[in-house]
Amino acid sequence: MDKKLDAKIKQILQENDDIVVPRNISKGIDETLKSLSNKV
Amino acid sequence: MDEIKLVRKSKKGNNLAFSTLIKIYEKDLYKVAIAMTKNEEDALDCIQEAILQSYISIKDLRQEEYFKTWLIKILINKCNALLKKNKKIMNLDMEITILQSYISIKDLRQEEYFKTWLIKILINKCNALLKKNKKIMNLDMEITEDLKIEESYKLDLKESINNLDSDLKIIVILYYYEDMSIKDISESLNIPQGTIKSRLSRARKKSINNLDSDLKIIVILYYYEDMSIKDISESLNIPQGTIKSRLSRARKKLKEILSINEEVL
Repeated sequence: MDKKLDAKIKQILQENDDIVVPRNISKGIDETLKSLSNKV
Repeated sequence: MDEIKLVRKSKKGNNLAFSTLIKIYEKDLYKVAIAMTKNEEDALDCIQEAILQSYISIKDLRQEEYFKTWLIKILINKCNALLKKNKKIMNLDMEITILQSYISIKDLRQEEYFKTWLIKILINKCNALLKKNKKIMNLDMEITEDLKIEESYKLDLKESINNLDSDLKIIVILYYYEDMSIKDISESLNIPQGTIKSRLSRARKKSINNLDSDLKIIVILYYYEDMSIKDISESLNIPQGTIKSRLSRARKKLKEILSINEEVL
């Protein structure tokens, strides 16, 4: 029962996942990755 | 290219492969970090630290298929460390507040308003700290065991208050728990009375719909990040039994919220 319910919850949550990564977070991540690339 | 290949390339020092992997999981990283830290600045700090840590340690990752779980675990550790640090700052500030109130109590004229006076000192301290750090403070510790709330509806409210935005949370705490008037809250926070009233109304509506934060992080890790109960338990340092019971509570609430009928299952 729980397994079926979990699968259904997961399906609905993931289908309706409308979280958007804010621009400043995405930019901060890009900067970190850029600094790592420049290190080597 | 599949993710395992990207992990293998990253282990060999391929920066482009590593960056591609991180961008694939950018949303997952954000979701977990924001649920734990509750503010974007701290979330970004933790994500950046987790990226650096994973970049350094990826060569030691043995099970390449578990890269995502491994990355999320690193992030959770970073968030836990930050929360611990913030709590220490908060505790220190509380001590300073108590000391300040001890020094200035001789100037208190209306003894019957001691509590309001003390809270005003605390708010000033918090405002100074916020200004200094430019960070949103986690006010969860305001709502702890010391609040003796008997009525069940208040217990529900307590749970949901933890999930409110900090601008709403502080007003709810002052109004409902500290019995401060709208005028006093307005003066203390330097916010117009009209704004206090509208935020109180917003808080009432919002508090009904929110899942409490201890459930929210488990829901994210279990349903979105596909982490096992064992992994969640290890990462959050919470016994597996507690995770199971919280998951069971979350399941019931989600079933209701998502309107899942028995027939669908």
